[in-house]
Amino acid sequence: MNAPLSAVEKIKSESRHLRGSLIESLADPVTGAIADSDTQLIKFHGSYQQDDRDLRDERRRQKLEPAYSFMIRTRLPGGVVTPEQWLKLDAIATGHANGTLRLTTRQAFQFHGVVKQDLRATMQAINASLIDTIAACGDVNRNVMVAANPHESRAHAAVFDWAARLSERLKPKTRAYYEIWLGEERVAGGEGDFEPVYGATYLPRKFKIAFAVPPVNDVDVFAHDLGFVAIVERGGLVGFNVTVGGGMGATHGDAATYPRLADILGFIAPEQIFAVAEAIVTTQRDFGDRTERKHARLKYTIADRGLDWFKREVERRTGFAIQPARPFAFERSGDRFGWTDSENERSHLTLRIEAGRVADNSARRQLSGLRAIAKIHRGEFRLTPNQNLIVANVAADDRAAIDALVADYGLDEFRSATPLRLDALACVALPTCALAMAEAERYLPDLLSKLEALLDKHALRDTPILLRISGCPNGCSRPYLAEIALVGKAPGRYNLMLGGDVRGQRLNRLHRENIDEPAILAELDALFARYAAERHEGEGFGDFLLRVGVIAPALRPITTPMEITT
Amino acid sequence: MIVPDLVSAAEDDRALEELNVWLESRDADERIAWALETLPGHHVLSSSFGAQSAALLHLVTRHQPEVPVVLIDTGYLFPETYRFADALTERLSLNLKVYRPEIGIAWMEARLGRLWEQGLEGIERYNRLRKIEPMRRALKELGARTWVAGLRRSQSESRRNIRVLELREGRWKIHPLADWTDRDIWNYAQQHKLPYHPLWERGYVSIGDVHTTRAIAEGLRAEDTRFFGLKRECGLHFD
Repeated sequence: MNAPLSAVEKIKSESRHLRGSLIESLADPVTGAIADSDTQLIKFHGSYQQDDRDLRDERRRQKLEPAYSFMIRTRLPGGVVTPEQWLKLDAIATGHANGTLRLTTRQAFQFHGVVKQDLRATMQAINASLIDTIAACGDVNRNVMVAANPHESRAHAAVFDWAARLSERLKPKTRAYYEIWLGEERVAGGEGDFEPVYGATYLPRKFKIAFAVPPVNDVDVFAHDLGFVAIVERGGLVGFNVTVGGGMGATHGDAATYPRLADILGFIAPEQIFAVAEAIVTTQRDFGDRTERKHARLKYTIADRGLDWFKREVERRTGFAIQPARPFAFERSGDRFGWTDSENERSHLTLRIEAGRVADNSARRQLSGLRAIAKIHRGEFRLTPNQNLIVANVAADDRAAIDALVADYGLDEFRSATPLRLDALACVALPTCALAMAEAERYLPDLLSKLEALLDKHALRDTPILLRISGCPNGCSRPYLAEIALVGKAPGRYNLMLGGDVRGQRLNRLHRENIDEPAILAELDALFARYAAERHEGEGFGDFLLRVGVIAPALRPITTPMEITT
Repeated sequence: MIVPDLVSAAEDDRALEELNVWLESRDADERIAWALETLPGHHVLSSSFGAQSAALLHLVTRHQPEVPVVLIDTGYLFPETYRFADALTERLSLNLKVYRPEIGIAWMEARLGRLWEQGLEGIERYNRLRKIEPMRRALKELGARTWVAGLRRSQSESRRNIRVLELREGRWKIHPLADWTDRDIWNYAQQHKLPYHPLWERGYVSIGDVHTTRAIAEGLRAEDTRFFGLKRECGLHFD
């Protein structure tokens, strides 16, 4: 029962609110790395120490330390930036990092390949663009996600506003970030050495929040620790259904870890959101497992203690009752590409960015193209939850100029690509991610081409099928919600997961374990043939697989006990 | 009425309930036809080859002669049950799949004693070892996505609330005879000249293992004839 606290807990508790020895580590000229304990703390500041795994063996042979570099992730509620900010981020990617901008599945930017000597300058440049990286990683509430297109209605704008305010509310109060990266003087015992929500050891594990606006579930709200499903009546926001205990991460071969869909806790009015969110976060702070990091997410706290217990504890802390959930219905997850118009007489263009990697290469010059668009764009950019980008709030007069740039720079893939390609997600994986067991982002284009050939063979080219690939079971690309997912097991080998739905409401199931590409393609070839022959009108691939019994129904099926309103 | 689709029924309790309402309005033969047509394969039929088992075996194999029929042989069945199984297998050309526990009876008794005489806990352990484990293995090895079983509401208090269609451990489970009475079984058997288990004539109404089954007597309900009245269900069909 009294298992020892995990090692990270000790590091947190001794860190003096996330300071640790980061200043000393950054100043150490002998190594490109930082102290081991600081590698945990730097996450809270929005950065991971990584090394180039393509070069590991070569460096070892040369008796050199690994090619250390740092990934930096922004905190950007809802993923919204101005064109001016975009240009600055572009300049940072080009000047300090590896010349690419990576859009993540959680509406953040990532810079890869920043070396230690350049880390502080990069952080300062990011902050100079009025964007910070506080709590982008680490055991805290991370970037708050919001349905990608808030301008489609009045309600969207209200939802975004609540999300941004909640993000600010749950931001760590320590001044460590400002001292270490921005040179602020330490005020001993001053404000900010007190964390009213988190306490001195923060949360047991990472914590993720998302806001969804039905009927679109682009944020995959059931995949997050805490979710808010906007309830909209007559165009206005009346409140939120609160979802708790979702999460994707798992460990191969460890049945005690699993992806889990969130439960619906109930309905709250908008102005109750801070009280409820803080009650949920502090309940997890006090009851989450701090002895075993693999078992520390909110989903396990709820699975172990029960939803009823959790609700009582949250209500005890808020002092008011959470109401019964209101009806809602999702129609689909994913993004809608191309132009959409909104009631404020502006238009929004959703562009496909494959695997979220904005780069210039021989095939297309997306980094340059978006730089050109940013120079003339008068609205803003919005990162979607699916690694894509919206050129948002475009006046009618400006559409033609943006369309021309989109065509010139090869940003118009969305016009011709298959639905399979448009909706596919891949995490970063090799060479930088330390957790990756197999390729993901770098393998995606090749895999898609091979799958498209199979779809052509069965006349399924225009059928939407949701594919996600992840280099390890932790699931940054939310693979367990896909109709087809490859989850990395070893170089070139994956677990083939099948049978998610298109609304982000059903987890897929393991179909074949640890198979290579020929086996994956053979499996899918046979299933595509069957799907083409036996599917019902409009039936999705995942639904089909469940209906005909290729995959089994879930053991814990009901996560959305609302009235079906469609 | 609109019959909910299977995917909805798998994910929403209310859709499953609506589907059950519809299934209640069909007769057993229609339920079986629907199940074999709609529920995913492989379909597997389980039978205890008990008192009234012939009816369901006959009903299902008329639609799907090759359906695997699982019999869990605990090693302690009545000689009459083994002979009844042989006879029905011959008569109905059953695709019989016999599954047995991992551990043989002599070894189990040497190791654990006479579990069925060790109170409720012993009986439950016995059932896990001799029935539930081999049934789980059978369903897994046969790739069962749909399990057809002959449970009836009138058999006992414990079965009074069973649904026609259930989801159990990620599988569909259908009870086509859920609403049948003893009289319905009798009529069907007469109509199709099906045999009853030989012990039925001697007052056995629910037939399991030799040591935990007795004949009905004055003042006993059918469910009291099993497991010394301590429990009714062996755990194959209920948790």
